[in-house]
Amino acid sequence: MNFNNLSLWGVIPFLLLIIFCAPIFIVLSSLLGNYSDNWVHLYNYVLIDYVSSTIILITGVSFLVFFIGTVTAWIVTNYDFFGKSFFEWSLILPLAIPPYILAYTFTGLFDPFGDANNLVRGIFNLAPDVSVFPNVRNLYGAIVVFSFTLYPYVYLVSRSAFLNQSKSMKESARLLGLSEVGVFFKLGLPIIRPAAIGGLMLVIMETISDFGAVDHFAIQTFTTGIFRTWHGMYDLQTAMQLASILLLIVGLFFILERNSRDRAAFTSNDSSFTSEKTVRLPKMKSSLLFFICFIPLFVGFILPITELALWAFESKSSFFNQKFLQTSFNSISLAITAGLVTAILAVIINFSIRFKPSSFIKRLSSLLSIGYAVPGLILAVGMVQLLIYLDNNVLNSVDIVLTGSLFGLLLAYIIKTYALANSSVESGYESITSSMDDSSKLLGTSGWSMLIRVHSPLLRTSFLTAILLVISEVVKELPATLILRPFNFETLAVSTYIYAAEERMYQAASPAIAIVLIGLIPIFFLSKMIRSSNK
Amino acid sequence: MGDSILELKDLSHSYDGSEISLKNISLIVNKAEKVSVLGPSGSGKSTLLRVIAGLEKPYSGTITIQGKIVSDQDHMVAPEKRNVGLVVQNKALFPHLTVEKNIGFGIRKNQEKTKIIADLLSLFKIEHLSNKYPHEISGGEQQRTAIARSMAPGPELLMLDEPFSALDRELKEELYAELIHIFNERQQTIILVTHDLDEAKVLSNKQINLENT
Repeated sequence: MNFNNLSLWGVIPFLLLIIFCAPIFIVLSSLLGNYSDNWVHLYNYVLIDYVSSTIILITGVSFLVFFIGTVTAWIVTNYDFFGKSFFEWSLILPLAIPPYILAYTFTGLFDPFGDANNLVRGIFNLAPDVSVFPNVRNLYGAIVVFSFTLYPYVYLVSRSAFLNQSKSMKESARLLGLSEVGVFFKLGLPIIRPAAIGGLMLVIMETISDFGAVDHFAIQTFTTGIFRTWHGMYDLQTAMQLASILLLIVGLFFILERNSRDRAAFTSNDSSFTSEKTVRLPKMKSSLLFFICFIPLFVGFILPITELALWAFESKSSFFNQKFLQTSFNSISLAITAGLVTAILAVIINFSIRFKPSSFIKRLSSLLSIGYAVPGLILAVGMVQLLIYLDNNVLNSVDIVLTGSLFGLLLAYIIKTYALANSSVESGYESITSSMDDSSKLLGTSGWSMLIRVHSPLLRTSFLTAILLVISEVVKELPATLILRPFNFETLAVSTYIYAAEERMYQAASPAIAIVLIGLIPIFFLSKMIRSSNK
Repeated sequence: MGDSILELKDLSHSYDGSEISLKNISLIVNKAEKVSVLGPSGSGKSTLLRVIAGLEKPYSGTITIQGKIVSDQDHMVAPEKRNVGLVVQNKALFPHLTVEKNIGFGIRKNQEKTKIIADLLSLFKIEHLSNKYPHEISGGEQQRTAIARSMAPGPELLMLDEPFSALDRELKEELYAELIHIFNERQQTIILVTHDLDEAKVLSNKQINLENT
């Protein structure tokens, strides 16, 4: 590689962008196509439900997540109470539980004959028809499920922003007459608001993109509507048009999130203010704060893990059956392949930015992360259309070759998870100085050779982190896998979904536990970072 | 001019086509000559070295190294083909490689690689550090390694960009003595960028002020 053929490094991100955006544009292009009679049915009977339940869901989840995320973050950063150092990192554990798995365990616990109701009836000797806990198979149950699995997004950004608030500022506020609670509401919260709202936008995007949990609770939302229109009414065009509307809504929140991120800069104060001592509390207050922090951890992590463990115990010998081993193999091999390919692509793209630093290529490359914001279901709808087109027009095949193949599924995973891999590789590149590149060039090592001999060894940790992040995301991914998987090909997420749909919860335990365990890997590293940042 | 290693003719450079960092620089450096480039901050001293090395493209002018034009309106020879070495203040050692491997980085295809590395380790008195990683050695030792690495491919021209500015006075003086001896013994042509006039006088036999060039 020399300076004359550097343009190759500009072509790679451009080509990838075309591939990454193709399914999205295909979905959006449906808005310009014909509108079938099914729209009359949708408009008259279900569209209002889709919109209203989505709005209620978003509103409820936003309030609850904002409350849980900011309050717990404020408590662990400002007070010294029993369990503080434990909660600092453990409050992110619910991130390992996908909302659909919490939904399954919730119904297993709180349905009229669920384990929690049975336990309470047994303890208090109540009649079998007495249901102690309210019905969770509704919008309010879904709000609780999403809030307790997704609040860590807000917790993480709020904690980081609170850590950067100066102690002297808070002391001044107290001297000016604010109570402890007043400092939180009138000072702490307004300052971190842009950062917290950024986290909240991610939560909203995840909520409206979800399929598994709302499907389990039989709630009419856009995602379940898209699925029913396609597989119930067999109308792909209308499903794509519905998907386009959802995509535009997600796009709006995506833009809001980006804006919040830009405005979040003022939440960071001078780091010299950060080494403050937390307030040591008397026993009573300490217990209260422990309890406040324990609730989200209990509902979002301990409760579902306990229920899954109970199911696993009940399923006994069938836990490690042949099917579980096969689906585990399918999931893990797919996830590792997707992880490797995505991480390699992220390295190549970041290297091309480095090697040919132009603002155009930088902008192109940042657009590659767009797939993360696209709901898996929409990506799958677009991907199916893209594969059908390629089968018919490019491969000119009578049989389907790409449609329903692992290729399409892998491509969807790569598009969906590229942003995760990229963020890890990008931060790895920050530690490689440009003078290292200069020295390498002067010593005759340039282009691919520099990538292999200098950058690759230095990027090893970020490369492995990128692979792990992608693996945990791919293993959890449900709607895209459900639609794009080859016939009779099951992954852990699909297997959990099918068992749960058939109400075979004991059998659902083993794949669900496997998903949670794999999801814990990146959480482990994240919590390690939080722990080490405290030292 | 038969003995000249480097010849710059009306060399100009600008960042983004607007901010002019070098204007009409002309300079001849002969074999074994040691030239210091002085000048205030922002006068383009480091840029000059980067342009000579091929890491920056000049706006206009000609650069000739060993009688061969490496940069003009039509040519832009890649840095690795110019046979020059560059040592910068932050050393830019590869953190994943040992001292020995850092020195051998640019000569991996050379048949006499082992001998060259051994000679340089001995010359710079860092044999005992050969298996250490950059973070395990001192600042002075890192700087010796960086200079040894740049000298390993046998560049006709070695350029040093404020290589001692992060070192303390005592260590600097120790290094000066060693380097003068090494450079003289090897008949090494040097361009040194520094803001320290004393350093320039000790290490070079010709000083140019970039502002006055």
